Amino acid sequence: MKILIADDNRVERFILLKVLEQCGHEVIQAETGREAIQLFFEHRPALVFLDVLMPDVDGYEVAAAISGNDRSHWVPIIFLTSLTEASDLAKCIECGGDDFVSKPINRIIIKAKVDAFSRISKLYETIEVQKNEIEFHNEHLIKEQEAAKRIFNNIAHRGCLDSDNINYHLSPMSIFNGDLLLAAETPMGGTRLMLADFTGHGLPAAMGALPTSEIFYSMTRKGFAISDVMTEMNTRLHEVLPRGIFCCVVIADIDAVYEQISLWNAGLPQAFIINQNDGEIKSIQSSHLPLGVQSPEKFSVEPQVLAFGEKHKLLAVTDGIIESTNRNDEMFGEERILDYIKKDLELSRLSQPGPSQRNMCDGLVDKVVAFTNNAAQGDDLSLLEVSFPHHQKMDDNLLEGRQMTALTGTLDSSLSLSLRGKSLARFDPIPLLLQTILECRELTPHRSRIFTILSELYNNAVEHGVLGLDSKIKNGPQGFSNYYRLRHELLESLSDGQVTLKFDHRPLADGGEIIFDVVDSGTGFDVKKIDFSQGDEYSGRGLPLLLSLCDSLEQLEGGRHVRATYRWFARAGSSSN
Amino acid sequence: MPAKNQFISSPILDSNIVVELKIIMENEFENLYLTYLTDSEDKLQSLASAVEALDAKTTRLIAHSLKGSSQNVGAVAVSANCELLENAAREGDIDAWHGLLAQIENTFISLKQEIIDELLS
Repeated sequence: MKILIADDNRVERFILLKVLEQCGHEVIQAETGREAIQLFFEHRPALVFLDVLMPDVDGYEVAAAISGNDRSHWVPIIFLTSLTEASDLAKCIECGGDDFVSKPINRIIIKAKVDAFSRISKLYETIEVQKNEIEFHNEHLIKEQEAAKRIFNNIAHRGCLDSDNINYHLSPMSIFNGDLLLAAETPMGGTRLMLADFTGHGLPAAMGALPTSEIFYSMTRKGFAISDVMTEMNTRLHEVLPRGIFCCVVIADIDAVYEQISLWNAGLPQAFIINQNDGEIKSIQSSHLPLGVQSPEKFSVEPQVLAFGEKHKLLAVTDGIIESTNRNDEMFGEERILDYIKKDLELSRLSQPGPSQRNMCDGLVDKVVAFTNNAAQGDDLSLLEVSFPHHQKMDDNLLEGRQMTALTGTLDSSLSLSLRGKSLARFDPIPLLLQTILECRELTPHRSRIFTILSELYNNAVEHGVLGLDSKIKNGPQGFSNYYRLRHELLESLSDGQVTLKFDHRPLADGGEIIFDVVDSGTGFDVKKIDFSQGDEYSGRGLPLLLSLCDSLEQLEGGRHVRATYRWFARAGSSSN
Repeated sequence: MPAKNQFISSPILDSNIVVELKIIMENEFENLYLTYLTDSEDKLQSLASAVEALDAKTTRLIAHSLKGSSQNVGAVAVSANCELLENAAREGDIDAWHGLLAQIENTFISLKQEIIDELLS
């Protein structure tokens, strides 16, 4: 160990030199304070002995000059002193010294001090090395996370979250908190949203986001219903996630045509459907275990269906907001969210009539930050607020349409599919038929319209044909829940009954036509009996929509058979040989 | 020398410290005492000038320094007298200075003799 001794007393220095040399140390000697400072920076010793009283610069000043100039490398300073006043000894430490020994020099004490400080120095060095290592790894980790975040953002992209009817709060690094927010337009022009919260933090929590997002976007685009998407996600996550990691989720479909919302909550805090006109707040509690927990055989999804129009808002949160804790260890809790919503409703009703333009997300985040008195808390919060989507996407995908080059696939084809009994409850044939029809790439721009026609025809055949349900049940306060509960019960208990779906796609000189034939086993009904003027708020919606989309709509076999013809025209400039 | 005498300190030179220094200094033992003697004679001269000039600060500093090195080599009497002069200088007790200086010089002469005896033994 290299040791600097600074002492103007030759005899003292001589003895100290010998004591230290006997212990095998390399010693540098300074006779004055000034020389001590100079030699310190020249030789970088590992330990310094300093005499307090020196003629030019005293030991206190030397200590102040050499200590603390390089925090990464600690050099202990030990004062040699004949002073005995407590305040003089304290001053040794105050000015940057680490210890003091009294004169006259005692071999055993000097040796013990040097050993002790050498031990501490080694500890410091180890810590310094480890600190540098940690810093290096941390920097590396942050770089990796940034790169991973970019990849995640490309796959788990935000979809249509930027729409005017959506407000949300999500930290930029939320993916590493395990929070995920996805939004897509459904083929029928509605909006599908999903707020998800994976257990755990960091990369393991983020990994689950990849299959989840892919399934969400691809299945939504193909027209799959919530239950199919959730079943697929649960199966996949059950396969890939390790034990103890699972995914809490709220998923919602807003149907802009029927002004209704289908909602399913598995493991997240209650979501709220807020009626801004009458102040009614409906809470959608979790009704299922989170995704990835249950085996596919035990998994079943039953979304709730509620009215959702201009006056409604959906608010969903992850548990970050509930579990935000203030200084007194109190959690923010669900009660405070409810209080906030009520106050916000009152405020907006006082300030202006009609639906509120207020941003509840930001307001609620501010509330939590104020509650916890911690601005960084806002980073852990994920919130979603959705009002009614005003746009209705029916002639979209122009960009995709422009990319087509030739007539391909199922332009001249026909397919018939019959579902009987249990299949009607268990299988959704729309995505399958849609995908088959869309194998003709020229039809890509018609996806939304074809999806709408198919699902309207099929749902009418099932609900009104096979099950004999009356749309009027939907009217009234509990109408939606009653209607869909009844639909579910009837489907579950169905033993016979049949729906046959057939499409026949034929090329024409200027494009093509698709003839849809949907036949059900019900008793039939008369379209002409439906009275659009009688305030049939919900029941009348499907048919006018179909009429507007199709070239012709025919009723055969007493209403048990509906034939719809959809005509499409080849785009100018595209090849049509 | 009888065994019990080993533990009796000379009032001039502490034999325990001398034994200890022999262990520490090894072949430089003589050199240390010679350094002490030359260094101290210089200091005594400066001390005499400072007392003559009634320079309290210098008197105190040199007395302190001589006290320190004397302590280290076991020169108990010289060290004790230096401490008295250091205190008198700090307190400005000018009347006592000359007497204490003479006492230091006298004890130093005795000490020098003892050291020479020790080195020759």
